[in-house]
Amino acid sequence: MSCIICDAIAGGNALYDDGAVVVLLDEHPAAAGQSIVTTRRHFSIIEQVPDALAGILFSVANRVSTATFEALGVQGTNLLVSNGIAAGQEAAHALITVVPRMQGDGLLPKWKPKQLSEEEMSTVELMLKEQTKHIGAFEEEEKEPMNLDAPPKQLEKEDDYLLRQLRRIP
Amino acid sequence: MTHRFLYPVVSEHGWPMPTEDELKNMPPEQIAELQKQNCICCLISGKKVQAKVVYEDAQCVAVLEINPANPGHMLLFPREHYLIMPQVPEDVLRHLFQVSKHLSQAALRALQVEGTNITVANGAAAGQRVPHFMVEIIPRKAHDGLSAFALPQGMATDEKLARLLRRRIHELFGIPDAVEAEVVEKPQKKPKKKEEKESREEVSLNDIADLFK
Repeated sequence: MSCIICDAIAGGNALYDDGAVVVLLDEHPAAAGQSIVTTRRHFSIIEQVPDALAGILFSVANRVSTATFEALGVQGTNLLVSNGIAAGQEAAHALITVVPRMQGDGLLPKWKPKQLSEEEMSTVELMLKEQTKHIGAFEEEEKEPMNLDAPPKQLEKEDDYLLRQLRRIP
Repeated sequence: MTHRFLYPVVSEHGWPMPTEDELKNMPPEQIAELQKQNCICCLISGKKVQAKVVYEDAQCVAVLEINPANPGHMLLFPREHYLIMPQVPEDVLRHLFQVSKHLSQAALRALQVEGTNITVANGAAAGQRVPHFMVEIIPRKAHDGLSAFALPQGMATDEKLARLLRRRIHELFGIPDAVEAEVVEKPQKKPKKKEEKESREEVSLNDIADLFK
């Protein structure tokens, strides 16, 4: 299946490309100079991106945001990740949008707060806590897949105490 | 020093506030310290203010937003006080984004939503509300009536801006600019400016040297 972003990456003309992370100019921006930070490999949503790569993606987005500040002379930047069609994701490729902002441009307006009761808030808190317990151990780097075809390591028979004790005569 | 004008130092928690004159004479470090004392995120991270903490570790804290855009709206911020994203060290940023990825996953699982928005606002113009860098994670459902995170697409792309942006990005990453050759207008101007600056410095140094004679 063809992906717009993959095609755009293949088309060259990137603002930045280090082999893993690619920065492109947004073809349909909300503000002039809007760029997208994405991965060269195809991941549909940000959850599929490995931890280490996700971290790098964000630090590149940070520098792009700094560059946007300095090169375009804007007053602010937004980083926006949309995950899933419900959240407004358009291309099936995980990406971070860097939006240059000026005072009063009317982009990304303040949301209308939804007032939840104390009880509802606590329920949400508990439900989330249940799922966030497991957060903590991040994959440092992408591990190489195990080679199942490689011959198993030969144990030296005489030295292995597990085998030796089997032959022991009681 | 500019922080003071961007974000007024206001005590909402009953701390004794210095007068304007005192603020003027204060060294910047002390002002920064004062801001820390009055920063709601720092207070939450130091457990001085109660909040619904959904996740915390040595580097960051995630709490529930009191006025959520959707149920489960989370704010993730570093324990250290940083105003905006460029101030945050890279390793902390990486960690923050890894956590926010997992928090988004947690929201998808726990609240049975169909998507999430992860956003960062840098600067008051971008809608930053608190003088403490944070990542917001907002659970989304189809037809939840939240139009605040939809970006319009009306603007045309601008090649000149793209060139400026590309050059600055390459500078920041320390890439020797291969694109420079394509750009005709600017590079010719730039070297000249540098020369001017250097010659100016020389003159001023001579002036100073002359004073000693």
